Amino acid sequence: MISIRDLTVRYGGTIAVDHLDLDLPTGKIYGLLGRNGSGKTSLLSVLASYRRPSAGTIAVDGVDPFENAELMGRTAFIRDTLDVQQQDRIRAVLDFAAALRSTFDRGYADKLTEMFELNPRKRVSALSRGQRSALGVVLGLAARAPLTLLDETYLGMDAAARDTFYRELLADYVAHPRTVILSTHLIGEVADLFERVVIIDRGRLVLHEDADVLRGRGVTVTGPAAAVDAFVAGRTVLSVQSLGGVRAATLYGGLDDAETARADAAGLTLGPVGIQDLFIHLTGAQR
Amino acid sequence: MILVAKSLARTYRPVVLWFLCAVAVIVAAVSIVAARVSDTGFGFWLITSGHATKWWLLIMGILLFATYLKLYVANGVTRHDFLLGSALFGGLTAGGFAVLLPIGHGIEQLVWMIVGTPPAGYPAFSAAEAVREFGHYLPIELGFLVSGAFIGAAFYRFAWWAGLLLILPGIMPALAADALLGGVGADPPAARGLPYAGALAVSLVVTVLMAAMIGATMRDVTIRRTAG
Repeated sequence: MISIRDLTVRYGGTIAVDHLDLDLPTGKIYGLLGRNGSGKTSLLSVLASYRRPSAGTIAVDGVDPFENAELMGRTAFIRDTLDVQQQDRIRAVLDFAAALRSTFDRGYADKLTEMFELNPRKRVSALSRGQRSALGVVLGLAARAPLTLLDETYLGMDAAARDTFYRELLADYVAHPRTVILSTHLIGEVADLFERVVIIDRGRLVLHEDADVLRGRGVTVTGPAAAVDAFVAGRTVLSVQSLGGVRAATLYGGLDDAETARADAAGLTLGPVGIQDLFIHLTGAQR
Repeated sequence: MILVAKSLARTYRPVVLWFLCAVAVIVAAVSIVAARVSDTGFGFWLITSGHATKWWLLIMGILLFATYLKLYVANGVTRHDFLLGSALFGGLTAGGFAVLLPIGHGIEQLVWMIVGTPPAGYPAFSAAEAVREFGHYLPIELGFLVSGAFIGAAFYRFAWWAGLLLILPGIMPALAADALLGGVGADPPAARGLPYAGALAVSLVVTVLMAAMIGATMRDVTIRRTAG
């Protein structure tokens, strides 16, 4: 269990994380969501012992991870800026990680390097933005660290590479269960991976919930435009999409049995809501 | 600690080898030219490599944290282990240079004797002289290394203007070692102002105090983001 209590991170007069309380059971994939400047990277930096919190505590299984050799060795934090030597070749970067991390799987790293079509002889400085992100993914997944923190590691990656990343993340997580915290803005694309979702805004916790429960916080109503309009009247509508005479409205809040029956009677189809729609609603409502 | 020292040694091995080869080639070339045009009366090896190695260590110290700390922490190494490992690696490198300098002096004298005779005033090499040179060079090399590391740590941890201000105290180990143990202008080095034991003690105390300040400065430092 990762326990965060009253955590505050300040940069001079700016408060990045504001008295955050959070309990994260281990062995799950978390989606850490928040708008720009919401404090996601600061939270991950403290979890990875990259910085001391300004106030509050973090405990991993009851132990403060800061400068704890065992816990730091069991944590991998991949930042979007990538902590590698620019003039090193990819092969050297992987060798370096393998030499320092007992859990690093060099064979798997080579396999991923091939999958992402990275030339091991190429220098980091010669990589494109997307290739650098792919190298971050290789380092993050091959580290097989019990606590893996991936901070917007997809930046610049094309759709095919992102798809490879998501598939490999899931496959390797199933084969080697661990705690993965994935910070991302591409919520729609990656939401299906999340087992739990943490949403923060302006450094404060907005929501921490099981992904399926979160999806149940809303409903999508699809059907003839007039029938949909009539049904959603007076409710919180997160988004509306129309195509011809068909309309799909995303509502915040669940429906009780009577409302479900009324929707059926009106010829409307009910479906789950996207986490992205809920995220926009929840973080928008905070501002 | 050992893991970090080994890893740094692997990283620096080719750099150190190229550096030493370059110094040896420069010394050989300058010696040949100088021997043809004048009677120099001093050992090029000790002057050139004595300066080159201490400045090299100063620069290595300056770059140490900015270049390597984040790489090690990103791979699960604590700051504490990095500090100890880099101290071990730096100490061994400084010690290695302090051993190489008198060995090079001996080789230089041997070469002089093979091609003729050493110039008048050339510092004669002997086993006792080698030990004496080692005893002078080691604290000088350590002083420069620690000065560089403190300056690098100050710029890493604090704002640029604070880093600039801290250069002054940071350079003290290098200045103390150079001034008291004769790293500047002396060939071979000789203690000045104080007897050797006193000069060595003052130099080592200043160096150890500064090393402790590096530890205090970096033990909980925030790992900076890579630019770009």
